[in-house]
Amino acid sequence: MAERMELINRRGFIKTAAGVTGYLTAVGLPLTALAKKKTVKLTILHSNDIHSHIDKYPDNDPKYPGLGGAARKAAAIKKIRESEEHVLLFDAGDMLQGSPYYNLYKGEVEFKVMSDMGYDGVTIGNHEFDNGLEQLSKQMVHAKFPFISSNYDFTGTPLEGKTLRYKIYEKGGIKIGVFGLGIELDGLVNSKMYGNTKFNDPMATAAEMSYLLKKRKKCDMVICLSHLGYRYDSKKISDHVIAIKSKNIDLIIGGHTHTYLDKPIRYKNSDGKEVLVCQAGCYGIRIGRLDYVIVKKIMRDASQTSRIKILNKTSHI
Amino acid sequence: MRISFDLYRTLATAALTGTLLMGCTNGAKITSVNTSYIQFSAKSTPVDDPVMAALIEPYKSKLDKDMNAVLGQCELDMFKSTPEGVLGNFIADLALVKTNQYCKEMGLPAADVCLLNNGGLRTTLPKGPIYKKRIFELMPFENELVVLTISGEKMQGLFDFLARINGMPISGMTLVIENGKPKEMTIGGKVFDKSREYRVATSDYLAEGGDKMRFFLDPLKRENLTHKLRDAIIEFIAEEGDKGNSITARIDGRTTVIE
Repeated sequence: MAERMELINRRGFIKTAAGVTGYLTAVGLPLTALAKKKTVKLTILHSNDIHSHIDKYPDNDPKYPGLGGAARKAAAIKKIRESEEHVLLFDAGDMLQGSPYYNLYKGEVEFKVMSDMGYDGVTIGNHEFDNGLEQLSKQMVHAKFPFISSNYDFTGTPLEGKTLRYKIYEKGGIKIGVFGLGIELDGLVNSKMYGNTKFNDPMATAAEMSYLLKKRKKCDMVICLSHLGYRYDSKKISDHVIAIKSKNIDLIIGGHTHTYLDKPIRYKNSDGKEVLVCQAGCYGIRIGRLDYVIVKKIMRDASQTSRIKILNKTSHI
Repeated sequence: MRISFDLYRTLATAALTGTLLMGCTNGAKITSVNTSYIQFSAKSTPVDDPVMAALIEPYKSKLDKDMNAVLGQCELDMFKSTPEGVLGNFIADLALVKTNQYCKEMGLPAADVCLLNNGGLRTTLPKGPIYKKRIFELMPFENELVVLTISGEKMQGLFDFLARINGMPISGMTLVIENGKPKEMTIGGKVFDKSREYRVATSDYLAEGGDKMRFFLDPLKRENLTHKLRDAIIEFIAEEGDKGNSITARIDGRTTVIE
């Protein structure tokens, strides 16, 4: 969908480029005189490590008495969508493995449920590999959302061409670039299950993807869906490490370590700019919510937003 | 711009909000972000979404037919912990018992010890009736039991590993950990002898070096028992249930840490 939208926008650039440049030159006004500010509220919801938990926990559960449940979660998400115009819903991996739903139905139920909730994108966790790539590929037909994975290279595997390295979403004129990072599979997943999947360095991939999205694709916001884990005692790569060492990332939606962060952790990246790291525990008990207020300079009305970008584009040509 | 604050209150029992000031991007500026979470409980979200419930229902009813079987009774809430936990002790002990039962049926010598991993135990066991479904949640993986024959050298590596990571579910052996190093190791009640071979019951996942258990790679011998670890747990609890026994376990000092 968004790819198609981008295509249309690009066509829009071509159609209007000459006209706008000409107009500006003729009138000779600085950009700021034409621009006005638009305030957009963007709600980002996130989950991780749901691990096939479809049903609520029983009331006598020692740890999560009566909590969770997909039908309950769906009701809560619907309620948010009723009051918020711009909502994005992401998952940071390990959607599968952990209840008999996965043993019996192999992922079909989890993916159908998440599609119905309107997930916009997910990244791939280590447990997505548990039944092997062939089976995962088969089950992915039940998912109406994209699998965004930037550092796993699935060339020559059943998943080839079935994942995206990144995706750009547009909400209220705001461009949001999303990429995904997966954890090293060696020693974590049986090699028979991940086959020829190549694991690329998450740090280098984060640098590449965030630069591409923020600087070259001109995204207003860059989100990293990560299944690396929040933080380790060792030097192992984690969201903590990515947050400190990277640039161009605004938000890291984490998973893997099943960490309950009641509020996001604030970091300064290598440029001294703020990055938030969040994670919403596990087993479908919670979703995290971030309500961003974003002010964007635009032309006279929202439909002309793209014209600002046209000028940038034409200056390159 | 906290327009949805009332919504948080109705949706979240424990919602925590905070406004953070953010940086600048391409022509757009993030002026604030309000953060919260929603924990799904009867209080926060009293009514299920009927459309979602209807989507799940046919899968659930088919699954429940088999999964709602009560296997037995549990005497106490069992959690995992380090250096040892009640749940880990329970599972490792029963895995060794079942392994040796299978070995006997297959004409194989018994295993000396059992080593499993905490990461593989995916939930707790509650006090009260234990449903089959719960064991699928505890051990969702299709891992099968294997017996590895390893050298005393490799067995030392196993103890070193246990000491380094502060304990894992074990049975048939004891150790004391001091400054991350193993001391006073016993196997089958006897002092560990580095010059002999040992037979270790574990899962195929760990036998193939999973969870960084490299000492299991290239064993002297590997015997596949063809039984899933999950099935062994289900059988054990059901057999105890049939005998009228509830299941229990305790911390018994098999792994202790001295400061």
